[in-house]
Formats: sequence, structure tokens, C-alpha cells
Amino acid sequence: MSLIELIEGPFWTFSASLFVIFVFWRLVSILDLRRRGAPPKPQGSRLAGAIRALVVRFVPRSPFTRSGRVWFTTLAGYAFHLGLFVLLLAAVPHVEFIEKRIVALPWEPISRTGFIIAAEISFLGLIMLYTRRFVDPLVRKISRPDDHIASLLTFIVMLTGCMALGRQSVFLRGLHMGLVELWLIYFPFSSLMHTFTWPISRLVTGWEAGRRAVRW
Amino acid sequence: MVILPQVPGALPGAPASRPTRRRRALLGPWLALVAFLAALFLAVLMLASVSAQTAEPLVSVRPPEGAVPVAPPTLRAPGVPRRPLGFDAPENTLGSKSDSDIWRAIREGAAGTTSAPRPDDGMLIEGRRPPFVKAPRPEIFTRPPASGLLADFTRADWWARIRNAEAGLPRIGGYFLGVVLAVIVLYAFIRGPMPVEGGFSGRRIRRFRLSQRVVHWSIAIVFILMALTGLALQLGRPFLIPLIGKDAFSVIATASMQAHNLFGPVLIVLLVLLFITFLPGNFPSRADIIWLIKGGGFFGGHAPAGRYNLGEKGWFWTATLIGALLGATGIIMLFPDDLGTRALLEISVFLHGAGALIVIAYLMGHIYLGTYGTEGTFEGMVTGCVDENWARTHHELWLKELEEKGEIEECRE
Ligand code: HEM
Repeated sequence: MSLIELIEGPFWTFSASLFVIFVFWRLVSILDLRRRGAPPKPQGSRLAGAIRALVVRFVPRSPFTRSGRVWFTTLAGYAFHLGLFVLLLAAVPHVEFIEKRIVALPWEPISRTGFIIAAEISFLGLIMLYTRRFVDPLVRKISRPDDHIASLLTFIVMLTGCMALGRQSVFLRGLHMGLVELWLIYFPFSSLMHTFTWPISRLVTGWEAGRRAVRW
Repeated sequence: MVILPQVPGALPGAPASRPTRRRRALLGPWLALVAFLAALFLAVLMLASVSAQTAEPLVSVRPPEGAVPVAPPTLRAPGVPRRPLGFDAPENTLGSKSDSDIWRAIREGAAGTTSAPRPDDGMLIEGRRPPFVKAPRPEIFTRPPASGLLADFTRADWWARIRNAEAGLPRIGGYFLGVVLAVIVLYAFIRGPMPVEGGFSGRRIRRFRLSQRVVHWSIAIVFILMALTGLALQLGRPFLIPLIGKDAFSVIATASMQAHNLFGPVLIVLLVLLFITFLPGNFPSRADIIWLIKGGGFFGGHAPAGRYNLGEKGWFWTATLIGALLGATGIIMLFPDDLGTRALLEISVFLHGAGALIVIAYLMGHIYLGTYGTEGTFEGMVTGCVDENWARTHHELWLKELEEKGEIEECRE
């Protein structure tokens, strides 16, 4: 079996299975972290608090709306993530791959130009956010190795993907695919898990705030 | 006995090794990043040459044995719609005709048909003067082949000659960058890094805002990516193919081209941001002349400068103006069908390649001075703060101005 067959066959199955199993395991263990013992009497609506947090946290909170830095992270963050979703889920080669290996997606892939623009927006966001991690003394101090590994791995996956766009080299396709598989294996054990945990954390914090009738 | 390193000029009793330690801690993650990228690059190179040796090429450019030759396909016949959006499908698109046969036919003047109205549009490649060389002097076409780039430039087939891998821009450009690199290395060996006069004082003052630092390093990453991929494409034929072979180079070439095309617009956005954030302080002033007369302090002595010195101002304007040229010509080449006439495309290819060589040469000097070449400069662009003595050494007039206006912002941990 050649390397490319290994990468596109058994190794893909292996890494995708690890991804699913451990993401599931981590989500279950997080949800299982319920507070033990009788909860204190609620002072306000928990559900309203939870929903409010889920929605309101999409934009910076009012004390920070005058801060350029907050707007920078917000906009660059959206640029990176939205661009990434578009190219991940709507680019022709991805749609084709997902259809062949997993499930037929109910939407049409977008045009090559559209998806390249999405990739450009995403790269711009990622690069600016990542350089900021180095040059902002505070963010630099609170960064852990995981933050660097997760960002660099994501960047390299995206970069090799864009290098393989010509679809002219098996080697480049294999390189991209192999890195995607490493990324999938790393994912459940890292900060990349925030892909799935962000709504949970917002709902839980909002629920608690609602219970105490705190507005924030 | 352990001898602790002493920072020259530090006050007795002061924590002598602090600035050194801080600088080392600063370099740590950068070294890791550079090592990571270098390792990745090496791995790609190695794997590319291995896979090129072992794997079957996906797209064969040669016709199979016994293939029946057919007439060269017209590129886009009238009435045939443009290829739909989506992906190029290189596999077997050429049928049994080999690339080289088709290109040979084109070079020898094969004409296609086109619905475009301009008279010479049916001709795929033909000799042409550069648009700014005026009247076609007839003897130009009969004169024996001239030698030298300048002479070539006025010939009818100037474009093909300039792109010639053996004698054209790719080879000359490679030598040019090699010479620039050699001069920098030689200077580094002879003079070493420029020290801070009086040593580090320990008092640090604000030089760059967070937005400037974010923009600077973002553009540094993208610019270097563009430079590496662009150089691979421009210098690949004369310098990489003899080293790694055509098959491995084909992998690097397609990867470079895709990345270069995709990151181009990202660089344009960052160049605009760079222009906005770094414009203040980069206008020429009388102090620049004195700085120039004193040789910029490169050969000893003190050369006073304002917020930026003449060399830095030159870099700012080179990066932004040639950057704009590269952006404009790059966009034309990205959309050749919609934006380019042939003359425009030819001149774009030339200006893009030549302009890039100039910025890359300047960038090499900039990187040298920003890292090893001057003590304490790198720190300024990472933390935003520089040592007071650094400012006095390199930007005395800027420091004085800040002091006079009472605008010095001290940096604390
Ligand atoms: C690895 C690559 C690079 C390194 C190590 C580097 C390093 C530095 C450093 C240390 C400074 C501060 C100089 C001072 O305090 O006066 C600086 C300034 C600057 N850099 Fe870079 N740089 C790099 C790439 C780039 C690129 C690619 C660009 C633009 C396309 C750029 C544009 C500038 C500009 C505009 C300044 C302000 C000074 C001036 O106006 O020239 N740098 N750089």
C-alpha cells in the first residue's frame, strides 16, 4: 500500500473515528459536570438568562464597544471563522469529498472565486489574530502551547489546502489530507474543542446568571 | 567560578543581565516558529523529490505509445462557451496531444479562431515591441540579434527574451539577489551588529502601537510567503530545476502558483493597512541629508535621525509604492481574460518580476537590520517599546522631540 493510499484509506478512517469518539466523550463528560446537591432557590429566570447569554455574546458587551482592540478581535474573529466555514463546507473539493466519504450535503458548492475570497478573508483574520498573540504582552502571557499548536496546525492545514488547489499533484493532496488527519486527532484534546463547547459555556453561564438574577 | 555576562555600560549593581534575558525570552517563540516553518519547508522539499521519483505522475504530458496525432485543438472556438466556474480538470484534457507539441505549434505561429474583434487576437504569440517603444523602426526586425538585456528590450520578441530562463530576468534576478545577500553577509561579518551607544539603560519607552505591530508582523508573514512562492516561480527554471529535477519542481510550481494567487489580494489589503499605520514619520526631511552624509552610522560614527531614518523611509516608500505596482500588475494577471490586452499582460509580467526583485532585495536588508544588524531593534517591533539609549543612538531627533513635547510614554512590565 502506498503512502497516499494509506492516508486516504485506513488513516482517514482511524483519525475520523478518533475525532468522533473523543469529541463525544469530552462533550458527555462536560455535560456530566452538573453541580451536585440541592441548588439554591432561583432569584430570576434561568432559561431567559441562558438564551440571553447565547444571543448577546455574539457582539461585544456595552462597556467595550468603544475599544478598538475589542472590535479588532471581534471582526477578525468573525472573518476567520466565517471564512473557514464557507471554505470547509462549500468548496467544491470539500463538498465532493464529504459526499463520497460521509454524507451528501443538501447544498450546492459555491464558485471557485467565491470560495477563494472566503479563504482570503479567513487567512487575513487568522494571521492578524495570531500575530497579535505575539505582540500583545498580555495575550502573549496567557497563551499556552496549545494555543500556538492549534493555530499553527489550522494555518498549515489551510495553507497546504490552498497549495493543492491546482489539483495537479497527488503529493500535495496527500500532504493536505495527512495534515487534516493530524488536526482531527489533535482536535478533541485541545482548545479546538471550542467549536462545540461555545454554546454550552454560554448557556451554563447565562443560566447561572439568570438564577441569581444578575444582568451582565 | 561562574563568570556572568555583563551588559556593556550597565550601572554597577544594576541587574546586568536583565535586558539580555528579556531579549532571549522574546526570541524563544520566534525561533520555534521559524524552526517549525523551516522544518516544514524542508520536509516538503524532501517529500516532493521522493514522491516525484516514486509516484506515477498524475498528468502525463506525453502522448501514449502509438497515439494517433491529431490537429492542435483551438483554445476556445467561436460559440463554445467559456469553461464554467469550478475546477480546471487537467487530467487528459489535451487528449493524446502532448503539451510540448501544442506549445511548439503556438510558438511557430499557429493561429486559432476567436470571436474577439481585435485584428491580432487570433494570433496566440507574436513578436511585439513594448508599448512605450514608439515607431517600429524597420531595421529592428532585420538587425542581427543584439546581446544584453537593454538591447533585447527594444527587439520585437523582447518579452520572450526577457523571460528566457538562461539569459533573461530569471537568471539575472537570481544573481542580483545573490549579490545583495553576499553584500549583507559580508557587512555582517566585517562590522557585526550595531551596538546601542552607552549600553541598555533599562528605561524603556513606547515606539510602536499595538495596531502597528499587528499590521507589521502580519504583512511580514504574508510578504515572505509571497516572496518565497514568487521566487520559486520566477527563478525556478534556472536555479531549482537543475537542483531537484523537473518532476519535483512541478509540485513546487503548482503549490507556489496557487498560494501566490490566493495570498496576493491578502497582501494588497495588508499593504493598505501598512500605509495607513506607518505613514506618519515617513515623510522626507532635512535631517535625512545629514544622515546620508554621515553614512547612516553604518561605517561608524553617530548619525542623528527623526522617528525613521532615510533608509527606513526608503523602505516604507519602496514597500508601499512598488507594492502597489505589484498589486496592480498582479490583479491584471489574475484576470487576464477580463483585464488584460496582450501588451498590458506582457508589460505586467515584466514589471511584476522586476519590481518584486527590488522589494525583495530591500527586504533582505530590512530583515538583517531588524534582527541581527542592530541591537534592540527587534524588541521594539515585538513589545512596542525600545530602550532609551537605543532611541538616542538611532533616532536622536525623535527622542528630543518627544522630550520637548513631554510625550514620552514609559513602558512598565
Ligand atoms: C521577517 C521579516 C521582518 C522583520 C524581522 C522586520 C523587522 C522590523 C523591525 C525590527 C522594525 C522596527 C524598526 C524601527 O524600530 O525603526 C521594522 C519596521 C518596519 N518594517 Fe519590518 N520587518 C520585517 C518585514 C517587513 C515587511 C515584509 C514589511 C513591509 C512590506 C515591513 C515594513 C516595515 C515598516 C514600514 C517599518 C517601519 C519603519 C519604516 O517606515 O521603514 N517589514 N521592521
